[in-house]
Amino acid sequence: MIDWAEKYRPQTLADIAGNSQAINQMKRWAESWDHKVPAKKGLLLAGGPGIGKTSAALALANDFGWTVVEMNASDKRNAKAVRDIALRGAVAETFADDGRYISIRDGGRKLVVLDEADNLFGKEDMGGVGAISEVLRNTKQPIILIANDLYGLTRRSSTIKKECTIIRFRRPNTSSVVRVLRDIARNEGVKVAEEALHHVAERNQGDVRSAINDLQSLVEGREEVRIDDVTALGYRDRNKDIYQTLSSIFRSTTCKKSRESVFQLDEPPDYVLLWIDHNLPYDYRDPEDLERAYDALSRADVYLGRVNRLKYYGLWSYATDMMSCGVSMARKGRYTGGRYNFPTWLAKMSRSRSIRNTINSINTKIAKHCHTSPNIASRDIFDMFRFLFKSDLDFRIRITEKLDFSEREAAFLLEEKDDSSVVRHLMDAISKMKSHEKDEKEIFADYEKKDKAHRHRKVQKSLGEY
Amino acid sequence: MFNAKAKSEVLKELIDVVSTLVDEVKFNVTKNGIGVKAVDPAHVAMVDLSLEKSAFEEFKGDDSELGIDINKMREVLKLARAGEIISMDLDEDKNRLVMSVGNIVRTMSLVDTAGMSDPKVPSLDLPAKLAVRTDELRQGIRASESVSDHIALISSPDGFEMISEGDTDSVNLKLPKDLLEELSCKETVRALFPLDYFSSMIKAVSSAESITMHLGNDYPVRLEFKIADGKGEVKYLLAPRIESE
Repeated sequence: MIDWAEKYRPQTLADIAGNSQAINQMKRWAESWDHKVPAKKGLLLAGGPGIGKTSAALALANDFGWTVVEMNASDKRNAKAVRDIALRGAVAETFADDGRYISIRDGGRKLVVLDEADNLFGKEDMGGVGAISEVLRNTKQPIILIANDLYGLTRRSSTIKKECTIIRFRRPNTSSVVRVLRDIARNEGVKVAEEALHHVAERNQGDVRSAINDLQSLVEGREEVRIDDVTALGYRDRNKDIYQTLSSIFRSTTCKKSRESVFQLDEPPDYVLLWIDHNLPYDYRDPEDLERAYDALSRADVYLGRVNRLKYYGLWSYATDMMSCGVSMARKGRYTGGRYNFPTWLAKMSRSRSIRNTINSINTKIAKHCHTSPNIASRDIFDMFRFLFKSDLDFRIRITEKLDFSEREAAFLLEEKDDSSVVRHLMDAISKMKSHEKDEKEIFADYEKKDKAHRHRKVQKSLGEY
Repeated sequence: MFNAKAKSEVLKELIDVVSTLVDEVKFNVTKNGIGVKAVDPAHVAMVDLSLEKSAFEEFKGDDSELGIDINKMREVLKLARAGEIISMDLDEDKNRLVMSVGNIVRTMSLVDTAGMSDPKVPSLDLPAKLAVRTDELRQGIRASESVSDHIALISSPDGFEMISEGDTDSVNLKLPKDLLEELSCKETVRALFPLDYFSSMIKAVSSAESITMHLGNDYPVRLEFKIADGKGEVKYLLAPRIESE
């Protein structure tokens, strides 16, 4: 059996359902390749599954007479494969599938399509994003990356963001999906009731591929499909991304829609809470709306706190209701916009993770040494300890040895870089002490000399001061 | 229908030539022999191979297509000692190839050929033609590999030159006219190629002592050489690297 979604894949951009703006942008980009390499060598098509990204890329190549080198999920894909196929293809001239030689001198191009680029290498990546960046930097041929999760890709690489024009694909509306289904049904010579087509299109919420799949399974073995036959189709639960969820919460006028949008999102409520918290004040501009919304959000947070303490996950649904319905219903005004940003709190926490880890490990060591808790060490001891550590060389060496401070920890206490000379000399002195290579006094004197030289260098005045 | 016996070396040579470009390939069997045409997945190079009936010890065949997984084929060939005869028999009903090596019978399921293209070798206007000894080329490539990832091939009325330039180092192989086995070239032509392709193509040449090269200005190169004691012929085409526009 031939897959209809494959059989009826649009051959030209004109046949793509919806997304006319995105398609015009793609055309302009393709035109910019006429006899030169443009500034934006890549195109990043982002959007949910089945809405025509891959079809648009292939149709573009077809419309412009370009050859396609495609890497998709069914191929063996790793960083090496990307280099071997995409990169090698991107820097050389082309032989088409039928053997024609296509030179860029004659305006011929080879389009390299990396499908599911956000998902190329699984979660651990293994250098794949690096390989994609390399392709983008070096290519002499047009590249199209395709991703469901835009953020998952751009967060890992600034090159991708810099070298690519990002085009978002939206779900085509029901009537354009119906049009596609109707054409297919006519072509296959099956009579399908208009309501049935509508139902199929509606159910799939803009996912053209699964709408076509549903149609095919409906029609299988029939000559006519009536509306009653359609009830055989189950409900397809769609996953939403966080941006769509936020927009439902901030825009919908019914509780139901807003709740469902959170259920359809595959993220824990505490994560969603942070996103709402961060984006709420950019969206709700009336202070009274904002007050009510934050009130609801704070109640959600109380529930989340109880979940954490009691490990009773039944309370999650209350938290979810408060943060979705509560925030939706708090809104009385009408707002526009819809550019949502990643919560800065999360970003800062992840950036400061290594520093926080260092502080914690220092405090834990101090606490153990002083027979107290890390919290008390942090509150009462740390500042004094750091002052002593910075100013008293004797103390510095002995305590570093005693508490077995790492390079990182010593560098943090001294507010120096890990590989700075003070830290290096300190570590040298410690290793000498441990190996009893020299007399203790000698080591101390030696270190003192080096430290002085270091400080001296730091206060070296410039000629300009005189 | 396809039923043949061949020396393991002949098959090995065939597989070596094809495997430089593709992992899966379609063998076109006719009553006169076997033909293979393929474009590599990056669409940069092409191979056109033909092996006459006489290269086989025994050969019976009529028009059919065999989808071969190169790696599987290689495993089978590893089982054979030098000079050993391998027999192949196409089982059309089960779409598989039955191969026997010594006392081992190895059946190999065939790959679906529906998605495989049938490229035609394009007619390219390549004005320079020269024949170079294989070992000279090999040595030049060995010298270049540590220096750069591309290589310029230059043909002039005086001889042939191969230049590889890296960021800091460079390699130059110069063969004057009298060291070439053949040279017909009216004016100097030059083209730049990806070295990894060129190198693996040259390394796939096992028995031929010389390679015929057709060159044009910023145009693909066509390499031609014989396999199976002259009973088979290989054409490689390699597209040039795009220099800055």
